Amino acid sequence: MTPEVQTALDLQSATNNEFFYWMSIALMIAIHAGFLAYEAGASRSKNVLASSMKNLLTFAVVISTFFFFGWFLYNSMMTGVPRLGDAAKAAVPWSANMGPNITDSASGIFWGAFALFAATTGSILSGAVLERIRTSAFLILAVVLGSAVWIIGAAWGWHPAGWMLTELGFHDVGAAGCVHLIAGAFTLGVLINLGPRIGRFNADGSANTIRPHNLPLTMLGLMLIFIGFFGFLMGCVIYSGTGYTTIYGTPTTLSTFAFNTLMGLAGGIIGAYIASRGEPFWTISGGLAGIITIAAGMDLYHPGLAFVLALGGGAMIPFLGKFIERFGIDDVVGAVTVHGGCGALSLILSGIFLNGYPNMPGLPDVTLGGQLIGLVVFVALGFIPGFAISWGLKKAKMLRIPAEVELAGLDLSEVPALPYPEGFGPSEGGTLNGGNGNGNGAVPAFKPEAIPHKPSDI
Amino acid sequence: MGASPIDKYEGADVVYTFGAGSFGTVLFFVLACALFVAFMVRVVLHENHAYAAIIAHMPPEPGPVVEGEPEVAAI
Repeated sequence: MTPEVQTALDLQSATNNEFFYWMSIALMIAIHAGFLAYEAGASRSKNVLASSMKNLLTFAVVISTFFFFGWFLYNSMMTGVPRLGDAAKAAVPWSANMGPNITDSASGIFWGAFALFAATTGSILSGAVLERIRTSAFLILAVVLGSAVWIIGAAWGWHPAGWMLTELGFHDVGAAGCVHLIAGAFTLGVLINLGPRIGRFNADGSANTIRPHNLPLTMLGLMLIFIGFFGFLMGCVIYSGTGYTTIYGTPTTLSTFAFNTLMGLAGGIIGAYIASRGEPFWTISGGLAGIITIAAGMDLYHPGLAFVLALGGGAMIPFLGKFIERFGIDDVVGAVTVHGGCGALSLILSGIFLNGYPNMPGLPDVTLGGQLIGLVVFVALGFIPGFAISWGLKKAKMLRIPAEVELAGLDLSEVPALPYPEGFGPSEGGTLNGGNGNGNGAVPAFKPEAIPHKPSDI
Repeated sequence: MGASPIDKYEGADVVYTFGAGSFGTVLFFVLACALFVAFMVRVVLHENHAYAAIIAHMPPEPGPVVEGEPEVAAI
């Protein structure tokens, strides 16, 4: 038996408190409730149900495919290439460990926590592509991201036997790189091929604001995500019944995570408020940005440092969002900015402030160089498949909805229901009446004859 | 249908239906994957139908016109 497999087996067998991870899973579902509310609020009212359905289906397809093959990838890819060791054999769906087994209280609960991480990556992608992606194309991309791409990154850099730890001393305790950065890079690749919503940019390249139809719902959604983050971070530690370690085996405490999660949250909100001059969308996103900015090193930062770093991350996002916009990228919820940008920043900052910190005996120390190499690996691992697969879907004309449907709204065509009572009609499209399609209930009803009839060139 | 891999709990480990690595387990795993693919195909078909209907100014579903839908005969 190889040392990596022994380490993986020891890690799992040491986990003797299922309830800890049971609660982690339950809390992480709040992340998905939050993303649903967040994205429903960020949509115009003509797309609100389609956006919600997309979130619901993300949850279903990523969790099921994570059972089919995702968990196997995590347990077979630690060295960089697939290896059918004992841990991998135990993770195939027909093995003794992948179902009710009265002598195994670890496999299901770990699989469940990782499945929720996987679904989170799909939800990160989901918000960026709102209102113009085909649901089927999105689900394919979410499966690739959630059940293959990120989990390969996790096997490399978020596993006690992963090559990025054993070769580079890589440190990413709160999954800033392997979850947020990979998902953000993947999303950027998709957005390049998907293109912006109709009316988002003018012919001269200048941007129009397409406002969320329900910003309070978006803000509530982010508050739910904050709750879910505590479950997410429970899944980032190993509880043995006698104490906690990080996923890399180094000792830690939940108190550590409480200090820095809350200080990161506070710092991020304040930073984003300052930089955006109190713009609500960026301010509430700043909380998420703050936590992600400190996530890589949150087991070791002093809370004062965490606050300062998080404030910087929160202050960065409005500017990074504007910068990305200049390239014609329509990232509806700022996913590339918040998850990709702050994930990258988190790895850089952890390299600076944790340089020289030890890992477990026999493993390299944490270094800035190791963190930067990890950053580049994760960006490539996320961006390349995201761009390539969405490019293929675009060529097959399977990526984007027809322009006529985009103007009319997905709720009228794809969802056999209406989101709001009579009297609250769906919003019109951004270019039909020269408005921005806010859909505040005062707009006139849908007029199909107003839709220009031309073959979609998208 | 005898799907139990055990006849008593003493000394048992795997208790799930059919047992580890069995034909029944693999069969239902393959069936689950096939149903997943069928679901994805169904999503694509639904989208194609719904998009074509709205482009043709037809309601995606038969029945009374609901608010916001084109006021034409049900398909």
